Amino acid sequence: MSSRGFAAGRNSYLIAAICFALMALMLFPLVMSLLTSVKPAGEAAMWPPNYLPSRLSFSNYVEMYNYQAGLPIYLFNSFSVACMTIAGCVILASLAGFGLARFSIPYKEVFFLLLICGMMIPYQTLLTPLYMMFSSLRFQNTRVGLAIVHTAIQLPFSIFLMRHSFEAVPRELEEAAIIDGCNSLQLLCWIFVPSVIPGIVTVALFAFLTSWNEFIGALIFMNKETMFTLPIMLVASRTGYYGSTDWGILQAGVIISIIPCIPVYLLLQKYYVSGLMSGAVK
Amino acid sequence: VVRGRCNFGTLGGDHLNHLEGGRLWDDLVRGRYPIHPGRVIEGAKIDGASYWQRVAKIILPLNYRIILLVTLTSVIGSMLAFEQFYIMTTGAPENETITSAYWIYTNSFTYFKLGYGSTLSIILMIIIVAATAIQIALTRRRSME
Repeated sequence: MSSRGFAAGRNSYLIAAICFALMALMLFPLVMSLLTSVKPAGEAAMWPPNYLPSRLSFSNYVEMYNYQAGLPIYLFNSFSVACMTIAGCVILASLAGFGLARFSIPYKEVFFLLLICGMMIPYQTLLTPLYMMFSSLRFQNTRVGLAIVHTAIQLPFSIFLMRHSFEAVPRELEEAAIIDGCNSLQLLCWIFVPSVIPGIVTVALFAFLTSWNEFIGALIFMNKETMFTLPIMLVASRTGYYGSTDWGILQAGVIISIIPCIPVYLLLQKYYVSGLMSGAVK
Repeated sequence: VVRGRCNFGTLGGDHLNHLEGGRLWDDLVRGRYPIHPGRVIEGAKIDGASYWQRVAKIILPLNYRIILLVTLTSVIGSMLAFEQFYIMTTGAPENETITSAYWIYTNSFTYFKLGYGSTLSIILMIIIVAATAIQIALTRRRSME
């Protein structure tokens, strides 16, 4: 709150107080689930609830690890779908963005608008037709099938971003490479991709977060226990064996599924911001 | 020659601005305002506008498109809400807390009325695309004033 001329004296304390209140509001559920997850078995369902665990215990995590098919399988499902989504988005969006940014194609803007229209149409409304299509193709309960869905969800935004990034690359670089005898694929691999790394990181980050958190698609396409992704597994574990919810296990699962997102986001935040801003350089 | 090509390249960067939807995205993504707000606000201060006058007459109108965009995305987002209801209420009591997306899901995958579910999907899609189109049109008219 040391900003000059923005808010002085009492006002700055007021703003700080509001910020702290908002922060507490946002953090409260997270902290509660963290605390619940380290309570000893059974304590999570206690009434009246105690906020601090009576002693530190990782029994909830152990039980989560052994839940049904075992946590490693669910983690593997989530990670492999996310990786395939990242690969699909980065490859397809780079190629499409390169084409749209640097080639003269007839009706280019029309094609671009059509691609971007995907952002206007919510994928939730397309799930029933998609399900019918995928079941006739025998794509249910396959990681590749889910990855295709997630890639399709994420692709319009990725293409938009990649096109903007590629347009910011100076023409001189491209011309120098052409004079040195690059064909367009070499141009893409050696000149353009290295100079839009922030954009690519942003695309990958968004693809990862989308795929990792996506719920309704995974719920519909994955109905075998061994094929669940983490969010679906969490909901399944909520129901429990006898219809009662073991909140301790559930919170342990929540914490486990948050863990990969935070470091990825924090580490890549720098790239992600500059990736979003790279279209601004003209 | 290089200079000429270079100019062409910078012009190319503006292509997307011709699409209205693209313009909205631009404002959001680039954090840029149509007019530099600092100068306008300073001018208003010199003219003796109070804080609330500045908010009502300058800051809100300048951010009109961004406010519209945020409203649009949040309205559409809540029309399509699914997870919160699926996890917290499962529609209880008596389907009072279902959303359109949840209704589609129930019909398609609980009752397995796939045809009915698809029809509902298409109707919802038309409604949402229409809402988006109306909002974009509104934004365009105001921004031309």
